[in-house]
Amino acid sequence: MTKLARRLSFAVIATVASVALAPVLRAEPGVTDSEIRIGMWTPLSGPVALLGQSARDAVRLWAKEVNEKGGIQGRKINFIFYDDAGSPQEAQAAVRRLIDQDQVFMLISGSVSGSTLPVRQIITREKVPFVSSISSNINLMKPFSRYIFRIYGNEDTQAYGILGWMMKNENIQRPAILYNSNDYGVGGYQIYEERLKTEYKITSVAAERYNPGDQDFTAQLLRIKAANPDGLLVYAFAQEAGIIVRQAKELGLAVKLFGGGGTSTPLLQRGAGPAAIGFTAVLVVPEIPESSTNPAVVEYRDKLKAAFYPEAFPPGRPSEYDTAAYAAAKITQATLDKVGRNLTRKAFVDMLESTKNFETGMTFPISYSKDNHEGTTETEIVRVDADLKWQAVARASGK
Amino acid sequence: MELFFQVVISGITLGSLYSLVGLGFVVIYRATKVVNFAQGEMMMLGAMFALYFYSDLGAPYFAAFLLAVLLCGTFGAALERVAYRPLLNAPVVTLILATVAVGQMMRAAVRILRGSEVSRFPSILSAEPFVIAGLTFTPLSLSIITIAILLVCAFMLFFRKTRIGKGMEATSENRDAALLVGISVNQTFSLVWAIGSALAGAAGVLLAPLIIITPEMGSIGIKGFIGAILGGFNSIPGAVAGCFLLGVIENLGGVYIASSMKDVIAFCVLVLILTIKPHGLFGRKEGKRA
Repeated sequence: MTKLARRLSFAVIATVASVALAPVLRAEPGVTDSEIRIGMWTPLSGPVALLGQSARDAVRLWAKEVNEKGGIQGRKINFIFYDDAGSPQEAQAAVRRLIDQDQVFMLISGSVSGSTLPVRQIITREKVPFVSSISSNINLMKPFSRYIFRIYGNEDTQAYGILGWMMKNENIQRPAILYNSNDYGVGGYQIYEERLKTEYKITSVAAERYNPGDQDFTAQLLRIKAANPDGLLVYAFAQEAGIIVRQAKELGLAVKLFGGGGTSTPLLQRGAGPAAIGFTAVLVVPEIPESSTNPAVVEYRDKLKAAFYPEAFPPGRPSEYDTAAYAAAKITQATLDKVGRNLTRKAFVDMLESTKNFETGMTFPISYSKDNHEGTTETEIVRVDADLKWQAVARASGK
Repeated sequence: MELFFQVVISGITLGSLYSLVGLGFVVIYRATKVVNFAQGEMMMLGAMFALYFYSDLGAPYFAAFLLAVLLCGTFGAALERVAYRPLLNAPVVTLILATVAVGQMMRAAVRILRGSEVSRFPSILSAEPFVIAGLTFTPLSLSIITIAILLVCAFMLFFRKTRIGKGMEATSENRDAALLVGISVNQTFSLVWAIGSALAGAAGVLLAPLIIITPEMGSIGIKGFIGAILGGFNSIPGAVAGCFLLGVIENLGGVYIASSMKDVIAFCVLVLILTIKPHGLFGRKEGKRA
């Protein structure tokens, strides 16, 4: 008993001492005289690996460039990344490891929404700055966290963008929607319903949902066809949308087709083929990374090729997750530079919040403030042309 | 009423593909008592092979189809030899788990080889819809139904009429007795896995132009299993009928009840039918043989 008590009291003293001394002894996590540790958890394997591989490559490329030029304010970037395979459990383990074990200064890019939302609490509690470049889920900012920043338009922005285009520019009178029953699809559907009612004063003629992983949409499309719409909004991921577009045509549903932000990737045409011609969707960046002639995007493509893919790019690359992550790295670099040698997480967040119209050349200009970390409310409307290439049609702005 | 028939037609298209996969499930099960959960992946592999021969190598469609099916069959037989035969004396559950593992490996291997690539199998026949009596058809879907039904009939005849087919039937009835009358059980098992896999491969090639080709496309294969149970897992014609029925029920439920619930509805029907007829709609009661 006494032995145990003695051991306990020793433990208590040790803990108290370490807690009391911590601020004095320990410098800012992840920052030393010669390096800054930056962490990433992202899907590098599994069905959504394309997103993570894009983000990882972009940040790795950036870190390499920065380090070759001697680092930022004399500190080299030490980039640490883990694969979460798109799984929330693995994401939690990876983020804990990055924060506790690797003691990173900040986090970058992150994972798909399903593997980013579950870790937002840890990130906020531990006060680790996080520049997110994949998740567009609105709940990433709900409740508002001072430590989380976003690079491109959230789901609301995307839904407003495509819906505005569909209703105003294409003058759709009898809209219908087909959406995924996950957070992403339901989020898009809710905005669609609400906006139709409040702004356009009409109701949707059909609203059908499907489950993630479904491969046959005949039942939904037949119901939609029976409602006789003149425009269909597909709130799906590109792979599913590819099948939907084709099956719609095969069932004789000849209406204008529109898509949310999940559909505007080259994967859509690869799945749908010529049936995709005319498909109009919203894109979160102004440039289509695979084919853009914008100098910043071209430069990125060349550098990426030289650094990691001398033979040829893997299919679907570079994607907008490449350029978004690269933009996140660029804005991080600019902020670190401005903060200077006395780098702390607080100073970094304060400085990032003062960002106004930051141009990366490959995303929309990014601005943050004390109470808004959304970055931008701009989106691009793009359409599949007769050569099955995405072409920019117009800029769609904000709420 | 037009909508009703349209839904039934779409259901039959799906059902014809389920029945190919389902037939593969039943063939393997009857001989070995193993439910092969890698059937869906074999289907995916069939589609991948066909895509490779047809799109990448420019082989004629018929040749690509045949090569893909043959390769799937060979691969199935090889799997039997390498992965399943060593487990022949283990409990059946072990074998079933082995098929799950093999399926996962196939999926992962394809994912590693092809990354996140999404491919479309070019339609051989036009996917341009035409309308007869208010119903929409495409030459593509009609040809798929026809080929699938022909294949199913051909294999059913094969099991009934040929010596090899009868040998397989005998092995499934009584392994020891079959051995005694001179049927090579090992050979029969190889054959059974080859045919089961080839059927799944054929389903994959036919399905390919209807959906898109990804490593995950095999998940639809499980429907063949459900359809076969619905119809009766121990009867070949029953299982085939069950698969067609599943396709139709799914679509009817999806259109007339709720589209996102179509899988749930199909499962509810399955549970209901199994409660009333535990051996499936058309299955016969199986006595325990010595």
